[in-house]
Amino acid sequence: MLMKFTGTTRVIVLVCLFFLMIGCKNKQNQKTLLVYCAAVVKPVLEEVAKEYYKETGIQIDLQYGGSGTLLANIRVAKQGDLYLSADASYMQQAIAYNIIQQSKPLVAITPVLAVSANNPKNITTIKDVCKKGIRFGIANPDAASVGTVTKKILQESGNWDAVKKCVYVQMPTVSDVANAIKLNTIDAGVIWDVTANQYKEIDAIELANFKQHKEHAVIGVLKWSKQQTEALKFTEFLLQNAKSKSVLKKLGYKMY
Amino acid sequence: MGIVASTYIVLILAMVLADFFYTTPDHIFKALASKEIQYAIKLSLVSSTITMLLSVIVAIPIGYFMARYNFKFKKIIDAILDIPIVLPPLVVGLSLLLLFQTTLGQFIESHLRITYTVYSVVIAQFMVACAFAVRTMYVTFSQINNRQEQVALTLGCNQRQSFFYILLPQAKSGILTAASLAWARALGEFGPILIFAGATRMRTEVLPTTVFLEMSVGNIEAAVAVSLIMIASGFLVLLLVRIYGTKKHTF
Repeated sequence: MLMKFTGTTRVIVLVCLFFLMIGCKNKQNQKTLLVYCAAVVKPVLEEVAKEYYKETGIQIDLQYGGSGTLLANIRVAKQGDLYLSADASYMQQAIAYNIIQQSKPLVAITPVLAVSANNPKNITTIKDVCKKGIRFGIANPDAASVGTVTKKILQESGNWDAVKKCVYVQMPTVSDVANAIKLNTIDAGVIWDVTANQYKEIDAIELANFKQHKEHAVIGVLKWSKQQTEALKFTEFLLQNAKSKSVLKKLGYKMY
Repeated sequence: MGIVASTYIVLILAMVLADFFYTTPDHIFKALASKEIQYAIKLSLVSSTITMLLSVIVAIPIGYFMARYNFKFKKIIDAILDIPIVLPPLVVGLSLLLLFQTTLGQFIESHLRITYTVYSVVIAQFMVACAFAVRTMYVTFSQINNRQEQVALTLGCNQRQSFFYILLPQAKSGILTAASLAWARALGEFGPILIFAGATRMRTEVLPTTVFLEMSVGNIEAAVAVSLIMIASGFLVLLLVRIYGTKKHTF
């Protein structure tokens, strides 16, 4: 099957290209903010972005991933307006790389041991994840904030070396771990409490030494943002606006 | 015409050069020295090779039946064979994950753990790579005139003999192309593996996963070094196949 480029085909292709260009042009006239957003706050940002568009007409483009993954992308791409990391350590890294203009804490999040609803495998302590037949998943300690925190907690309690051997799978983001529990491909995993709240198929087991590791998501304006004031306005909206607060509350996030 | 053609080639080379200028030999040696990356290289090479063999074994009969026989629903089968090519990689991974949660999948899992193990890496690669091998074999067999096979049949060969002694030797370069395509495709497979095999270091980490994980830690230099290792090995294999495949064989 060879395509013959007859006169009509050419015209059609050209017309298509023309329309595509017009489409792009329109998009450029509209104000947009590019936000790199850690997976844990995805549900909030999606709703708040809609509200913000309604109020101001400014489009919020969201790019999701693990906090570490996003930070690497930002450093390579050298563009975008805001970075939202799941915990303060990644924001500190970003500040150390000298790419953040200013940052503000947003919501408090706590790691929990997550299991399928009603805990069919009867998991109550972190030691249970090493029992026979339990598939335990964590977020990758290098790629995702919750993975880093998981490793830190277990190192402090002296369980890391033992538990490390029981880790059945590592996932790129907190959402992937939660999805795996929902799909029953793993029996237990460590995720954020707010992530567990979003899944009716997941129960959270609160462990004392996990609770001490209360983290908070941080939002920061990127140095090379050409729309510093717009970016700050959106940050204010996220932190102060009643609508944004009600979205946070509805989804079970606690303000910092 | 010439400008359009050369632009693309220049763009490919420029991409590779950009990687090249971002890294130093020191980074590449450092990457090669790391235990995790050594494991990823091993797993990538082994799994891609297994995928290649499986793909060729499956693609030859499918290509043969599609090229030599006419049957009911052939067009539908033909379209089905293209599904893995059309599907986004993530969908392939998710579909495999769901498949192994069904009763049948759970039955297999109870005997042999698949999900999040190295087996899932090979399955994920095979699902996509095989489709490309099938396409190649289908075209290869279609282009070979079946006259010689028919002559062989009149001279007393049976179907099997005419396939193995007459058709297969003629399809040698096509088989090589299919194999190298499947291998290269498997080496670069990332989306389905991330979903279906996870990103567990030292277990289900293939080279594309390494690039992803190194990026996540902010170790962009290592990510680029690993990318270059992949580009070099992939290019070398494909080049060898091209050189070897175009040699005149005398039977």
